[in-house]
Amino acid sequence: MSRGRSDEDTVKLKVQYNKDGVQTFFRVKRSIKLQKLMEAFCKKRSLDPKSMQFTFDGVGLEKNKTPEELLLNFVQLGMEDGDEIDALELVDGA
Amino acid sequence: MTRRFTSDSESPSKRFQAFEFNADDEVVEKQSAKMIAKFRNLMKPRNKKSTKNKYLDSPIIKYKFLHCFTKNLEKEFRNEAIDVDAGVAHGTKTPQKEITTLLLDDDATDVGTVAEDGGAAGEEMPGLDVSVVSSSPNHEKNQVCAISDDDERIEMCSSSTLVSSPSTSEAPLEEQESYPGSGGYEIVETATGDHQLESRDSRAAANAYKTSGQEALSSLDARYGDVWILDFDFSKSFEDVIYPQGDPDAVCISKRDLQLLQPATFINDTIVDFYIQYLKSKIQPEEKHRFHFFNSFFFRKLADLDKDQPGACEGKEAFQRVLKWTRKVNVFKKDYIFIPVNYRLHWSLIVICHPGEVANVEDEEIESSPKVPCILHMDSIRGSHRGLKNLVQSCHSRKIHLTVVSFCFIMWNVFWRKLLLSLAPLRSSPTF
Repeated sequence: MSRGRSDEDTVKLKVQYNKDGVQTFFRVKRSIKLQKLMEAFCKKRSLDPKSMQFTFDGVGLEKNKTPEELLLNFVQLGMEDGDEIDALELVDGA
Repeated sequence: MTRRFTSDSESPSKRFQAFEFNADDEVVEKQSAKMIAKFRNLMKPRNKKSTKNKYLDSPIIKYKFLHCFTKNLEKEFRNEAIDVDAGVAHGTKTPQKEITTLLLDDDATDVGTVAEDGGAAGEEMPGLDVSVVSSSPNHEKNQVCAISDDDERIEMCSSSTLVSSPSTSEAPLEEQESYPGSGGYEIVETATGDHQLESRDSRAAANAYKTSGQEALSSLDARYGDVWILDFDFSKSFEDVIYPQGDPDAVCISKRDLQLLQPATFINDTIVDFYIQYLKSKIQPEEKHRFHFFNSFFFRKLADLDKDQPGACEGKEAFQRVLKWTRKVNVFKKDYIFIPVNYRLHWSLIVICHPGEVANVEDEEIESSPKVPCILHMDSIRGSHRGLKNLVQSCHSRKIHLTVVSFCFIMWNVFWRKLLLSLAPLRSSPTF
């Protein structure tokens, strides 16, 4: 998956699942929608996307998606190689 | 009254030990751990296949858990010789009294810290809780009145844990807090214990209060149900709502989240984050720079709560985990930092007051400073978050303390958020 290519239009990101701390690495095009990355991650880890929350440095990635923001790409978020996205399961309480 | 941060003679570093717990807390914590283990074991065989999600998704199960938790505490304390603080103990006729004595004892400490740090008039007050209570009755009235307003509907899910309009301003905080549990259902049993304990100072008032409080609570609950029946039809489709539009911290509320606002359900982080955004929108624009709100993930990340076996929160590691979160914000310039905490199926709130003052003010001056740096933890179900002690233990040296402060610590319940917000703009020091 990651063959050490350092193309400028791709970025290597890691997604860390908070439950087990396991990191999954993705190399993706910068122009791709984050949504795709999230879906890929959930599929890989057999998780329900609806119960997951993705954050990047404290900014929720899934929650604030608007039709416009669906276009959110890595450039806009300023993501760089090695940046970490947190995948969190939604929690609740009384 | 047990205070661990009372006198001026205590060393400055001691004063900063925001999460200092006494031996009694250990008991509660052990119980809590035991119960959680038991509960998990109980649940596992039934849900072999469907596992965690199912377990986590059922509010009823969680409710049972909380109930189970408090029940067990009761049993356990009955068998133990509890060294209860003289100012608090009023005899141990019933097991319930014993529990609440313990709980009260602990809470008193928290409150004491707050009062002292804020330089409040806590000392003059006869009851331990009064220093805080003194400001809450009014607010409480407001809160309860506000509940019927349309735009306050969201708050109701948490506000329903409160008793409406206290019959007397003497009524200690104990009374107001003694109806925990989002639906005000089973957990009320624990609350009864609180009343018995409290009744030394204002026994008559407490009894009156208890009755009126319970009535108010049940009427509130009924009204809450009505609102839902009237205004929401869950069979209809509901488009996701983005709030506030265009904000980078915007929250997306789906139908699924909305359903959590129904009576007797647990609220999730989306709802909590929404409420934070809602409160933020109520702050005057010129005041906004004074506050910083972390979202509900911050504490999870900081304390690494998602691991199955959360260990002690190593200051440095914790710092690294959330280092980037505040790269655009100087938290030390903020007057109040709010951190919602979800821990063991319960929400509470940490508020860090005037973190910047720790660096600016010399230890001797802190006493007289109008802005006293302190960390408050607000928890509507007393004792339920004591386990956090293990997570945030390393605040001994001043240096480490700064680190801890930078990550803000006051846990509050949704209700408290509102209280603080209504008070904070008016005062420069945290003398709640």
